[in-house]
Formats: sequence, C-alpha cells, structure tokens
Amino acid sequence: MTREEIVGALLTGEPTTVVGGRTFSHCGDGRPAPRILRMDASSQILAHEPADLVVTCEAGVTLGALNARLAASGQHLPVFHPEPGRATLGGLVASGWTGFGRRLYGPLRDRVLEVVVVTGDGRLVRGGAKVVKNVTGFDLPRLFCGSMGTLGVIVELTLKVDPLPGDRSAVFADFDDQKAAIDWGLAGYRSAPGSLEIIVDGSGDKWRTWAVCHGPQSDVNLLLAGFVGGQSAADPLPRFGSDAKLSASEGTVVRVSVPPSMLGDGQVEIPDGSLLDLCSGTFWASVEADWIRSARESAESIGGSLVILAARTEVRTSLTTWGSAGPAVDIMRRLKSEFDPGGVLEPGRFAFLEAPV
Amino acid sequence: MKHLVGDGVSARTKLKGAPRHLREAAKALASVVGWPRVGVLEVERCMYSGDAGITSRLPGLVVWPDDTAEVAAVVGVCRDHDLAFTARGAGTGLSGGAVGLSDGVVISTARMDSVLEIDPVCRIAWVQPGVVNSDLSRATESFGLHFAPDPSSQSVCTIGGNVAENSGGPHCLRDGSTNAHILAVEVVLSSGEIVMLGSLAGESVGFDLRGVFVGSEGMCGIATRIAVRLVANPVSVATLLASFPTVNAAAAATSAVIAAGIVPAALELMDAPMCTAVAAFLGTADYPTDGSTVLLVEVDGLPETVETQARAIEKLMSASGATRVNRATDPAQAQRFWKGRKSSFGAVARIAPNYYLHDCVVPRTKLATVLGEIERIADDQGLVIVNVFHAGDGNLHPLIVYDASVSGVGDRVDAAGAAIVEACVAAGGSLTGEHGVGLEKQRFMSLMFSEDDLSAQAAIPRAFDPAARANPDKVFPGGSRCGDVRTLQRDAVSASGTGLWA
Repeated sequence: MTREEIVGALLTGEPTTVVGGRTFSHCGDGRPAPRILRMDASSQILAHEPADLVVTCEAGVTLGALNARLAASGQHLPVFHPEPGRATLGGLVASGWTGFGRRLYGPLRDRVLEVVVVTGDGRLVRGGAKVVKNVTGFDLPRLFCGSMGTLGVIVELTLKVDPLPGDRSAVFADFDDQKAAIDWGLAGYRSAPGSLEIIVDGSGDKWRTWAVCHGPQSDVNLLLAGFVGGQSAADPLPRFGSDAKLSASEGTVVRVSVPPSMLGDGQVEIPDGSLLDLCSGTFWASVEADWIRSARESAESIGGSLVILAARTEVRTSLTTWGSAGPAVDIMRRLKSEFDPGGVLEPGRFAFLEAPV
Repeated sequence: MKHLVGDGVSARTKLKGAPRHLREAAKALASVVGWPRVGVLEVERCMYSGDAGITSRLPGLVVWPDDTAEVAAVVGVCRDHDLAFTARGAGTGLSGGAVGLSDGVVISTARMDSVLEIDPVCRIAWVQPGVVNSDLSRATESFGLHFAPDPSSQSVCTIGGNVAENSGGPHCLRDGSTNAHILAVEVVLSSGEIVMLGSLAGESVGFDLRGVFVGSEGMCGIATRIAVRLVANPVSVATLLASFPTVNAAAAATSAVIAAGIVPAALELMDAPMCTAVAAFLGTADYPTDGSTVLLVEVDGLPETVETQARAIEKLMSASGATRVNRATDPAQAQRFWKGRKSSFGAVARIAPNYYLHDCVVPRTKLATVLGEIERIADDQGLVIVNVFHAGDGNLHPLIVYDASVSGVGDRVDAAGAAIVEACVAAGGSLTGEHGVGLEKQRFMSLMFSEDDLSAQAAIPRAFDPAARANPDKVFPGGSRCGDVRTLQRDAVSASGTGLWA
C-alpha cells in the first residue's frame, strides 16, 4: 500500500490491525480488528550510506533482507530473531523486540533514528532525523518503539547500523542446579573488563550458562577469565535467535523481566526450562496458566513485568497479556487519544489503555 | 551550596514590593522549604536569569528544594497558584532551556546533589538530579566504572540537566547519548504526582515514557531521582592527534575510519584557527600552528583490539593525507591532547572577546560540503567562524567569534547563525545534536518539521503536562503548544541583561 492509501484507509475510521511478517501477531489483548493493513509488500530499502552507518527502509523490509544488503558493505543491524526472513523492521520496532545481544550491541530502540508514521487519524508524520545524533524536539521514534501499532502505522524507518564485528567467542558450563548456573554467570560477569552476553539455558537436561564476547584471542581470554572451568564452543547467539523450543511448547509462553540484581539472589522464581538473559534480568519460560498470576504480582512489586507472549485465548483474556503498565498509565492513555482519537488502530490490544470503570 | 543569599533577611523584607499573586505563592513555598530557600529579592533571582547561552529573563521566584518530597510540594504550590515552573541544574545549558518565565518559578536542583546508591555488580547508580556529571564518575571510579556521557561542561553540569537535554559529548560516538544510559527516572509531574518512568528491569510494558522523558527539555516534569547505567573503565586507551593540510582531508579521513569498520570512542575535529588559538593557550607543541586541521581520535577497550585499531587508524590518517600523526605515549600526554579540545571554547578569547557557539548535525558524508558553506557564510557576514566538533557523528560546533562592542555585529552574528542552521538542515541534518532547542532554536523548528510533525511532537508534553505548567514556552515555535490551556507570559527574552519585575 502507498502512504496515501494508508492515510485513506485510516481516515475511514474502520478499526484496523497492522501486520508485517506476522511473527508477533499472536501477542496482545483483544482480537485482531476486521480490517488488516498488510505492510509486508512495502519492502524497499530506500537509502544506505555506509560511511554514515545509516540505512532508511520501508517498514516491510525484513531483518534478513536488510542484513543481506548491509553485509555487502561489511555492516549489519545487530538484532537476533528466530525468523529473520519474516520479521519486518516495522514489526520489530512496533513490538519493542529485544532478544539477545543487548549487552554487546545495545537495544534496537537506541538505533531508531527517524520514523515516518501515519497516525490513527490519518496524519502523515515524521519524527527524528536521518543522522546518528539528534535532540531536536520530542522523541517520536522512541515513542513508537513498543507501541504495537496502537499510535500509528510505521511506514518508514531510519536505523543506525554497525560495522560487522569479528567473530564472537563463547564458553559454557553445565550445572544440575539453577542457582549454581546463575552464580557462575554473575561471578564471571562481575570481573569482566568489557561487554559480555550471559545466557542461562534451562531447556536441556542441565542448566547451561553461556558467556559470549568479541575480540581477538588475547582480549577474549581477559574477558572470559572469570568463567572458571568453562568450555569453549561455537558462538550460540544466532541459535538463541532461532531457538524454536519455547514457541512450539504447549504451555503458556511468558517473558518475565525484573531488575537484574533480583535474579541472582533467589527472590524470583525461575521455572525449569527457562531461558535467561542474565544481565538484563529477563527470562522466557513455558508455564502453566495458574503460575502466572502470583508470578506477575511478584515481578510487578519489584518494578518488573510479566508479559504473556503466547497462550490460549481464555488465558490471555483472564490474565491480560501485559499486566500493569505502571503508575504513569494515564499519560499513556492521553497519548493514545492524541495519536488515535477515534480508537481506530489495534483496538483493545493494550488492555491497560482502557480506562478503569 | 549551603549559604543562601537571602539568609537572615526577614520574611517581611522579602515580600515587600512583590506583586500580590507571587506574594501568596512565595509564602506557600516558604511554608515548604523555609524563607532562606525561597528567592524573592531581585539579587537572589538575577543569578538564575540565564544559562550559558544568549537568552535570559529574570524569573518570578526561585526555590531550592532538598529532595523529592519538597520538589513535589513546590510543584504543588505552582499548581495551586497556576504558575509555570522551570527546573535548573547548573545553568550550563546553551539553548535557554533553564530560563524561567518572568511570572514563573525556577526550581533549582543545586541542593539535590547526592549519589544515593551504587550497585557495582549490576553497574547501576541512583543519583539526585543535582549531582555533577564528573562527580558521578569520580564516585564510581573505585569500582572501575564511569558514566559515559561526557559533555565539555561535565565538571559543572548536572545529571538532571543531562537527562533534560539528552546531552552528548565526545564519547557518545560509540556509546550513545544520555538516553542510552538512563534506566529509570522518578519524575514529579506538573500535577504534583510522583511517578517512576522505566525501571531497572530490562523490559517495559506499554509506551516508552522513560525514553521520551529524556531529552524533553523540562517540559514533561522534573526528574528527582535518576537510575543511570555505568560502564566499565577501559583497560587500554590510545589517543591520537593527526594534522591535515585541509579541513576536507580531515573530513575524508573521518569517513575512512568509519568505512574501515572502526567506530572510535571519540573522533573530534578542530580547524586551523582553533588549533592556533589552542596552541597559544596551552603553550605546547601538541597542536599545530601551521594552518593544519587536527583530528583527535581515541579508541579504548581491551589491549589487542585497541592496538590493532590504533595502528589501523594511523595508517588511515596517513593515507588520507595527514602530515603528522602523533600517538600519546602516556596518559599525561593524552590528557594534554584532550585539554586542547576541552578548553577550545575558552581559547578563542585570543581571537575576540565574545563567541556564539552553535550546535547542529549533518550526515558525516556531508561534513566537507557544509564546512565549505560555513566558510562562505563567514565571508558573507564578515565574521570569524572557527570549528571544533564531534566529527565522528557529524555534530558541528561552529563558533562565531566576534567583538560585541562593534556596532551592528549582533545582527550579522544572528544572520550567520541562521544561515548555518539552514545549511545543515538542507544537507539532511538536524537543528541540534546535543544542546537542545530551548528558546534558542524554536524559530527554526519549522525548517525541519511540518505543522503535522510539530503537533504530533507537542502531544508528548501535553500528555505529561495537560495544564502546560512545566517549562511551557520552550521548543515549539511561538513558545506555545496547540490548544493552549493557559496564557503564557510573552515578555521579551533579552539577549543580555535582565528583565524587570514589573
């Protein structure tokens, strides 16, 4: 669809859902609206200036297509996703996608320099700028990161990319005990003189803790010196991007996020089979629905969250996808009414936007 | 800041001569913080009229709260008396963001200068907004950690100010500006309510309110506690100073470094007149006086990577036409290299007594073109413009150096500034890379953004502050937002000197 067509579509006021590669379409409250706006055909890479480390593309460009193009110039967008051939940049940004790699490369939201969006009431709006450093006005790109299509349809993005780094190195160790696995990861991280990704994978028979980093061998030795007894292995990061175990599971898949200091001291219950991003305080798990309510209360009481990523409809409805949006939810409601006064976009997808009765 | 000017002055003296509507507010503020911490006399308020930029305005009242509860109570007084408020850190801002309204209240965070908590394992610190940027890094030094954003004013500017402006600095090239280093902010909203935006947890639910609060120039509320991300002090550092015969050659060298896949920790350019001024100021041979343009490059991290990158950079500099490439042999020399860069604004006093420092961004690939434009603008207006800037991210700082006592020069300086901004935007750049829009660049917002773009941006402060009390006359053209709910004081902002309490 052209931008004009999208504007026209939204001006009709018909409730609308936006889809890209449909890799996150299952996540959210309510049901998809009857009218679907498909963005996957808007898949042009509009501009790439390698010497500026900046790329501009339509929202429907997939992560895989973008990285294939950037690789030709020795660059990449350092984001890991299970299905890079389907996940679109618009969708990754709108869904607030994180995944692994934040420690080594920073989060995606720090890389969105400019967005062009169509608001719920049909205004074509540009926010940010196509330069890597900019503080002009208010940060619309950041507002749209994680907005799940509820404020506007992203039609174009400008992103900051990186030179392709050298190979990653990794070590791992296996533990019978979850706490020992976490402690080993934290002990190594504590003394590391640089950036590391620490992943604790409970999906196998044992708890396996990984430490991943960059650099030539002598630097890697310094970074990994604190991981006593670790075995070297091939870089696991792409595999964690593509690990389908959780999404194929039968239980309810949740993402729990807490202050990272809470993960190490046993305050938070981490179910068997969880996958942890240790330094971010986030883990993914497949659980029974009746575990969720109290786990969510626990997480929220310490400033965290529990989000239901995949579940049967009745589970999502009774528990809601997102839980509490925190003490500033009124500000979020006002933003929604500013950008989409008619409630056209993704109605009900954020249950917390509905004002309490 | 323990002894206040108004100490020992009686309440009666303070209130004498004040307009009725501010008198009641002053009394209400005094009931929160006590009379010594309410600035009512002109002598108390005049020091809070301006920042380090060109705009100033005598505020209605000034108040110095100690903590979150007092800030909330003070903002509540502003709410009850329908007064605008403007937060102020150290007043080092260059765009007028901390300039209060003449019937508004300046809320100074000077007394909120405690580092509250440091978690060296998770590399997080909680600070009050008045903590000085370099004091924070000094406090975390013993843990081998520091706060990455390093504006040139870092020995004076505060974290609260860094949050309001999304401050940069040379080391933000690789590590990002302030927004990438703030995990959570406790904010007092204009309603008086205290909310936490963001959290220490890696994920958040809903809209990124923390992310839009950073850089919101005081228009969304006041940060009263800030959780910052700390980074590990590097094991190795290599600092290089390369001299080039022309600015174009230095700009090309900058692009060559990036194209080679190296993102240095910092990459700064200083043109020939700037180098000459700095060389004379420092009295060392580090900076050339032969008309060369200098690139100051720093890489840091682990030893082998740093060594490999430093060598590659030396080669790239030479291949791009550098006549001299010096690598600091010890930390003292590296510090001297940096001293030249960080004292450059003061060094221009050797050229003329006044300067106007600009801040705008262009794509790196357009650096040479825009620098040529700036030279042409300087010639057109008969002014001296010297350049020092963050070449790595295209963030220009042209300094117009002049003598304010020369008749009519102010208009030429203004015209040159406007032309520079226009040239940068036309080259695909942005109005401001780190100083903010404030009052200084309001009138240029329409160069970059359409009416629809601006009204969408204005929705953000409106959602935080529907009553338009938080620093309301900033950023947007005309100092107003769509659908004003309050009448804003539209008195003239003077380029120097103070307004009058009428």
